[in-house]
Amino acid sequence: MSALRVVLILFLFLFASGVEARDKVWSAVVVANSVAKPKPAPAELKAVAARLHRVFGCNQFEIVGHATTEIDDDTKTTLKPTKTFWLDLQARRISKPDARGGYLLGLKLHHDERVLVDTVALIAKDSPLFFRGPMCPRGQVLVVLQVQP
Amino acid sequence: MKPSDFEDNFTAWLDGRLDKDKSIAFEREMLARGFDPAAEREAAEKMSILLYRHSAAPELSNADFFQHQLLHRMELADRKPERASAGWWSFPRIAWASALSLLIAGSLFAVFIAGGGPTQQDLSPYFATIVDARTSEPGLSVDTIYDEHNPVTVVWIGGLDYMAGDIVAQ
Repeated sequence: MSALRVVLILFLFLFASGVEARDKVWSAVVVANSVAKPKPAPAELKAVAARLHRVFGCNQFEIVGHATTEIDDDTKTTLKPTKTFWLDLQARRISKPDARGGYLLGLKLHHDERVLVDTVALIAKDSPLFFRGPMCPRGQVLVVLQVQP
Repeated sequence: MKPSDFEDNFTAWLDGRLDKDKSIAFEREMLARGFDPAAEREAAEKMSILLYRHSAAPELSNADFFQHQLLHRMELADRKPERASAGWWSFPRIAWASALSLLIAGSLFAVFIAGGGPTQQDLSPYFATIVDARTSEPGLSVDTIYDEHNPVTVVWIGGLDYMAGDIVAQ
């Protein structure tokens, strides 16, 4: 019977390992510019820094504000990375294999009282989505949204 | 009651199982006891014929049913060894088989369903696509940029005013 107990524990362990923790959605306001001696990219953007450089022509990315919240199968929340830029977020997990464990997101990007853009996006984990915002004295404003495991 | 030697010899003599010397000796003994060997043999043969003619096996009124019952009994007799082997499925063995089946099912679930499917590392690591993007603000425009050589998705908002002042303070 002790052997049976061992088998049962193994079985429970297998199931426990299959249970996923809740994901997080991270949002940041980033200022991008081109300088002679660029600072290293923030850890969250390191994977895409080179690509951003090619798309925007900038070599330095600085986070000026960020916010994080947990999401699950059906989440409705607000993310406020800065006082003036904020996002209304509706998230729904996609179970189809093509979506790679990602989410269907309904997003409204606000700047002060204005809704700059209303969008629906499909994003996988660790695949940041960028909004190109206005220019400011320090450079180009970008808003980043990323689902983190 | 055990038959005497004389009775045994008499039966053997009738059946022809005594050799010639013993047969002659036995016939002498019979004569000494007052039996006529020729008469005795004739009487035995008559009895044999009589028994052969009048002792036929009784006819069965329900032969088919009898045969069916007989076959059924034979089948039951054949099944007995199988029943004996059914003892293999003792309770501990059933418990072990169940536990093993459960473990296999759990393993298959964990591998193919819970943790299954291609991982992001197996596929392209970047996946972000815009289904719909629009703005209701006058003077603004929205475009989606995705370059497959530099896989980054950007929602490009055009027509925004320059932001004066320090963005960190805002």
